[in-house]
Amino acid sequence: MTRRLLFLNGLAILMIPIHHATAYGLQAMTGWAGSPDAIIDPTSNASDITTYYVVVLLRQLVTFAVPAFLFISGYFIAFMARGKNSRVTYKQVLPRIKILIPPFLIWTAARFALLKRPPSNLDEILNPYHFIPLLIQFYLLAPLLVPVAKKYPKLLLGVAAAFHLGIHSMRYVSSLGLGVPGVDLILGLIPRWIFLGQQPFWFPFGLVFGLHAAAFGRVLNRFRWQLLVGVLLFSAAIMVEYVTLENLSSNPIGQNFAVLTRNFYILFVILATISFDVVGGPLGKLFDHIGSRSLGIYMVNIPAIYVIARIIFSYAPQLIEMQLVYQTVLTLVGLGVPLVLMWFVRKTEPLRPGYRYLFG
Amino acid sequence: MTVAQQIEQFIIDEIMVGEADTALDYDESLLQRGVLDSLSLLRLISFIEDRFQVNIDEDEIVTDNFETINTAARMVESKL
Repeated sequence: MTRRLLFLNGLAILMIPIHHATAYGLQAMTGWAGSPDAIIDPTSNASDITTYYVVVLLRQLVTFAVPAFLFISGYFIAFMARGKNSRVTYKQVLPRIKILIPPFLIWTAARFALLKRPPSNLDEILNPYHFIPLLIQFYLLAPLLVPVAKKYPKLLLGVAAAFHLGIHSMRYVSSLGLGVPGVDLILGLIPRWIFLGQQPFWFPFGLVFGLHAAAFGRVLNRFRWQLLVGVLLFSAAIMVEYVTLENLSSNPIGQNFAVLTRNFYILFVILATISFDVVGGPLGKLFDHIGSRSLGIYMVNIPAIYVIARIIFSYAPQLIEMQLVYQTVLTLVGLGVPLVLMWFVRKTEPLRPGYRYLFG
Repeated sequence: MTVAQQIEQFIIDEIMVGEADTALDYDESLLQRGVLDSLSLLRLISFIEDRFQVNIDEDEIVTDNFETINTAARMVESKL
């Protein structure tokens, strides 16, 4: 299971730069359509419509990264809760929180330095790296969640799933403009960096999974092919749901909209990935290597992609027309720059003491 | 190098990168020191399995076995 979780972690971190690259791709195809540099209008011809929906689907498919990280973090808390000392204390979780804060502050400051403006609200500070505030909240909740996960695992999963699907359903209602009283007010009070806001299920799921890993492992081994089929079916369902909703909605649903089927897709991706022994060979080693630097990649990819996207927008806008090339470049930069920077800091003696502050 | 020394070396080289104080007491809690997180735990287990050619079962992944360098080393030695 250990290697499978490492593989899942490596796979997930690869999805982060792709996710951000698709954001710029969609922005280029839609938001920039009125500017002189706008190249693609997705409504103009069939091939551009196809490109648009391919990017939309890709963006939806890669969103399992943060849920996977939360799942693995929940598993880690389960590790702390197993054995003789079967409690998780703040003495154990606070050192982890302490390590997460400096990279978050440094790269958030770097992001606003690049934007050349101060943040206008709290959401702007906490949303771009929302995994960090989410993880801190879950670590703080962990000493309380562990006893519940041990005594009432089904209840905990049920409540977490209910909150999870509840919040997603409210976003649905809001997007469809159904005018249900109170929904927009509630959504306004629950931004995505609050643990109830977008991802309340995955950490408790990882915790319960970790506490009963052997039993879960037996089930996964038995149903691995069914899980894989589930991944494929829900990938298709995501697209059907997105297009249907886009057609039904009175307002543009936006590129970040989380369709309901995506939650089931993510569940199947996580379970299918850790049910197969796909971790040997060079691919496994590569994922181990990348995965071991995941926090650094997560922090640095955002400014790296932002800078290269601006450079392309200003000096080589014709690249934007070639979405495959454009997004490949952004993804490679989003992955490569953090890895090179981490290597450089690690190897350069005067900078080495800053490694943990920069990359966790 | 003893098992404990090899584990210590891995932790210093791969997990505690850039830390000013890498001196580790073999009986010091790796959790309370902030050395182990989800990823570093998985990497440490993976390292132990590779280096010492042992298999660590799911029910052995408990704090009792990974709380300190010494507890991890003892678990490995019991399998060699």
